[in-house]
Amino acid sequence: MFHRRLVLLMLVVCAGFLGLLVRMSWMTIVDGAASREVAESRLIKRTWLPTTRGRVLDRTGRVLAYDQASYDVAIGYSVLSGDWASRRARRYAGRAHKDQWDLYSTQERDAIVENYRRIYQKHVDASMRTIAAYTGVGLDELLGRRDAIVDKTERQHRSIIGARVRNKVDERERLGFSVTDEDLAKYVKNSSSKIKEQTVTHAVVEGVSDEVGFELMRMVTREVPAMSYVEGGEKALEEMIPLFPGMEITDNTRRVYPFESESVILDRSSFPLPLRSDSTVRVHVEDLGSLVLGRVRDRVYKEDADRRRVALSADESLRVASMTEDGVDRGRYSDHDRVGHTGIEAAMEHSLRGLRGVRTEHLQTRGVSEIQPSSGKDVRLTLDMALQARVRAVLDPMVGMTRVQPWHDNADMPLGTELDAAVVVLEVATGEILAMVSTPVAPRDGDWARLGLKTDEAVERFKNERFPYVNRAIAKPYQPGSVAKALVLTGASKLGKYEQGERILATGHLYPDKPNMLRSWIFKKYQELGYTHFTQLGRHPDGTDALMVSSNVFFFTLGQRLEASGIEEVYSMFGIGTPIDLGIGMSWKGSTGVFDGEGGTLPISPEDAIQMGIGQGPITWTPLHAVDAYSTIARGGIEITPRLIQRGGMPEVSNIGLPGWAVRMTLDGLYEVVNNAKDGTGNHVTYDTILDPVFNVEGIDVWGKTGTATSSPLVIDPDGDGPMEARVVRKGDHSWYVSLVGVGGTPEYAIAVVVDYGGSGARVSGAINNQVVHALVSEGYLPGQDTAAMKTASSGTQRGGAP
Amino acid sequence: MSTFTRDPIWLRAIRGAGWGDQSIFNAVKVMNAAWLTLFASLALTLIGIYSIDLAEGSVRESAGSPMAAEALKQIVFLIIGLMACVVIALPHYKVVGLFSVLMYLVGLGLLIFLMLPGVPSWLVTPRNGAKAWINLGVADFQPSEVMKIAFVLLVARYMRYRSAHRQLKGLIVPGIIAAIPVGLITLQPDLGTASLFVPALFAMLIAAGARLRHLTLIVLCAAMAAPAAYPLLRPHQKARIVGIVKQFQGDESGSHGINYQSTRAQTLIGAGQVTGISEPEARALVRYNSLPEDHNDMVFAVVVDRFGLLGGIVMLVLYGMWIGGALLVAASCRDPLGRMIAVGIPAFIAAQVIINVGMNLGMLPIIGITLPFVSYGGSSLLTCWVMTGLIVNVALHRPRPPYRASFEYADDDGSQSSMQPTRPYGRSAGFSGRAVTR
Repeated sequence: MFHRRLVLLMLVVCAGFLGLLVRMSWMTIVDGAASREVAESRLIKRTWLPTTRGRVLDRTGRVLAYDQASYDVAIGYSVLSGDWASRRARRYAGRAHKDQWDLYSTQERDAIVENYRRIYQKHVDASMRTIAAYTGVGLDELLGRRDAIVDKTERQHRSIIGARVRNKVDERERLGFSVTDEDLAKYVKNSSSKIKEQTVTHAVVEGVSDEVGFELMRMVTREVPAMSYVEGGEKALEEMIPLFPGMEITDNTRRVYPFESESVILDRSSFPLPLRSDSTVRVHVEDLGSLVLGRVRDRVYKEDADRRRVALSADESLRVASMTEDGVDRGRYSDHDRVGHTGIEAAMEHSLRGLRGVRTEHLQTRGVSEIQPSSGKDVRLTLDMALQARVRAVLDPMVGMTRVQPWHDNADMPLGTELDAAVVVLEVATGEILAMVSTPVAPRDGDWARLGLKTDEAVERFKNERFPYVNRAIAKPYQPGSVAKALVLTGASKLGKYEQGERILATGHLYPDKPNMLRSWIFKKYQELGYTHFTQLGRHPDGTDALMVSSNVFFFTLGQRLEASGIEEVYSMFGIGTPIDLGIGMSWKGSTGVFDGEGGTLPISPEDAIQMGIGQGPITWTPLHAVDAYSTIARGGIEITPRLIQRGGMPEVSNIGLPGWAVRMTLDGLYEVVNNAKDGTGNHVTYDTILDPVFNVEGIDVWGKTGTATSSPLVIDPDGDGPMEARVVRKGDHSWYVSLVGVGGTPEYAIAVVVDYGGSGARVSGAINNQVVHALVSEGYLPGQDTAAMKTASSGTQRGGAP
Repeated sequence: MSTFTRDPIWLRAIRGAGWGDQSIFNAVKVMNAAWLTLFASLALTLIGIYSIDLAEGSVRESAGSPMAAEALKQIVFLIIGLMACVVIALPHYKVVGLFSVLMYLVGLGLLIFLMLPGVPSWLVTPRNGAKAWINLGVADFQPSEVMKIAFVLLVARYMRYRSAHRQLKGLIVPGIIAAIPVGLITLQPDLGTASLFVPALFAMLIAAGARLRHLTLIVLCAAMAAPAAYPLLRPHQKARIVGIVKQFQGDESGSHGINYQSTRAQTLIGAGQVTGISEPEARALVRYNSLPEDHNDMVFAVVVDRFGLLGGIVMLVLYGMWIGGALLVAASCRDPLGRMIAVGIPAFIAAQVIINVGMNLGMLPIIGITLPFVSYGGSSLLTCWVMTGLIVNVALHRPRPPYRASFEYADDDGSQSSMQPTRPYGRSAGFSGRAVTR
């Protein structure tokens, strides 16, 4: 039996060994390669060298965004306080004297430790001298900063210990117990745990240049023999210690937007009559171009890494440039990296980001290789920031043109209400966007108080009602109203629904038997008198006349002739419904047809087509579409895709095939709108009995069209529980004025202005459009003189510029 | 006709078997299975010295010495161990067994001494939170190591002529003999060493003929009671159990925390793959993968990293050889005391190997158990060689006939044991030796 039992025991042992063998086999055979890779990866120490994010420039080369490189030299608190030297000394002493250590008395041990501590402290002092030399900070000053940090932290620590002990004592006394000295000593001991400041690094030198920062960064991981700091008679230390104990180089680089705020002087002599004066006004604009430029954030999300992976797999050249030999992405995201969050910063992230350098140390072979950082590429925009600043200044409510004024005849909005607006300026010849402004804008720095919003509720209400994060120039859908008539006329001409020279009966209303439906504005206004455009003009209008007087019946008729397919085709040929990708994120592509709630649109009815003839009904677009369409007309049907970023190469060009006579007729009509004092709807604004021309820029030809687009009221449901308590915060018609300006009879720039719920096109948007033309003159795009500068110079006042 | 030669007492004490004029040399020649144990001991110790040097190589390089200091010390401990092996192998194990009670009591005394309040820290220095070593000035002494040997000797001596362990209540006394040191060692706290006593006791009871169903019942009761003992564990012990559970669940969140040591060991083991890697690379991997206790508890990972799966298999084969050799010695020994010694000792070794290698492979929580013969440490190596010496002792000193029947029972089904009372001389049931003729 004994032998059987021995066999049993041996079998148990064998079973145990077999289990170990199976597990070991799995680990070495199945998981071996992966484990080897993980283990070998620890033989490589990589130090990443930071790079510089690319700049964003405007068309003239002004730097709109750049990295202000700055690094802080930080040192761990334990090194600053001397604790590191003491701990290393004690640890080394214990190892070096291991065999006798337990035999030494406390005093003997302390003496040995002190000897070693001096050596380690000398090393720390030497590293401080080196840091002082590299950074150019005086050694005394550096040591003074060190002492200040230690002193402050110790005071904080003592204060916190005191507070903790007090809490414990109070609690004990509250429970009815007395506190002895022994208890107190115990409380102090238990409360003496380190505070956070005693465990982190502290900046001893701030704002060192990137050159110094990079150099120190390269040395952070270096180790030196401790014995190199031994001086006569002291025992050499047999270990390697960091060259700079506890040092970290922290990246304090900031993204700077130099043109974020500008001071602009406007000449009020060209303002609408009620606001006009001989003096200038200085307007300080903030967050200039922020919706276009966007911003960066210091937090990396998983989506950023995913986007990077997609970009690498899609762009071979980016992948080749980014990868190291061992397949590590030099542009990959780390915690606290800066990432483009919105606008150009986000859209051009992969170009702007740059690639880190990497210093690779092979710990086994001691080999070192280094790849230098590659700075991010610059991005040049087509915008002119000075023009942008002027346009933005014009839209500032303090100027008055974007506040509801008595002469606006706006019965839907209270006087003084701030109005939201958008302006786009496009260069006709190239399709480049010179200015793109949308107001209001959210403060980039989050300081809502600048906008007069001092409470969270006020901020929330502002966000819900005014949409400061929406770039109205490209992302908000508007009904075009009458400004679309130019498109309908040329489009209908192309599709053969309007003949050259044809005159359409101006009956005042489309349906002969329905005088209260589908009426011209003049008939609606003077219906009792039976006044029509025929009465006004003495003739039935042709295309030019119809545009000049903005005849609804004319364009209802065209809509009726075009029918659903035709009107849709007209708008489509001018890009409505096709996304215009400017590369700065979300934009509205325009639409024709009513949405069906499932991502599609319902068929356009004949009645819709008629309404769409005057830019109403199921048609939406943006100010960008407006300048693009008018520019296409100005080019005789040549469509150039608008651009915001200069990428080099030719723009996308196509010919939509507009008949030449139709283009001429349309341009003539638009010219008459602005320049026909008697009949042009966009020629003047009447203030009591005074006729004030909308445009007052000398020597500049202007073609344009007003629009008053009927729109749905803006309804806010504050508590989100349904429409019962909804509040109408805005209502009325959107005010449009789209113009072409140039000299010598050639349109050179297209300007679209829309004011949300502004009402009259000429009274509201027209005045702003005029100021944009003045801005083009001031910035040299059109001939003329900068009257504001002249007035300012003559009064001895400094002209506004970058702070 | 054979003659009976009466040897001098001192020689009898050493030789024990002393058949006729047979010399120690001749006795050594017939050791047989103990050679396996000796060979395995030496091979494992040499592998250990190499691995310790590999693990501590960076210090060696900076110190400019040919070998790491710990490896050099391990060589010294080997020499001491060999001497101790010889010293313990020479006197008959029965003589050694005479001191079992004394050793056991002294061991208990030392274990209690470790826990006494007021003991100066220069005498009993806590390490890794455990008070398990006594500073003798020239070296540290771990009483629990001595306790292992004392425990085996005492249990062996207690059970050598008894059959009470065939009954359930007969397991109480051996259980108490085990429980006392287990409890004291657990309080140090050194749960790892304490956990070795139970498998050793069970192995001895199984070999001694205790009924398997009794032992199974005890194991089941212990298994059911184990969850109740969980709250009594210390926080770091609970954390280790939680850590191993996480590993089994594939949760790698503890790989930089509680499972750091185990994760690093597993990585190095896997990195060795089948045939291992070159020595320079192995040194680099061990150093820069920052394996804690690489020369100590986790030395198995260093061996497999260097020599791969084949090296690990060689290690297990050597341990199997050691254990098998010891059990063969037990099998060829007729004396009950010798048999028990030759079962209890390898049981300790086997348990220690399985737990330590299991720790390295991530199958068991880290409980601070060294790998016999291989891990760095004077106390551990010395104890292992003393254990080897005891096995050699049993092999050397084969009892002369007549033999007492030892642990030979008819069957396990509870039927009447066929064991008959024996007399010092003459035939008896189960007698399997030649009759002695005076």
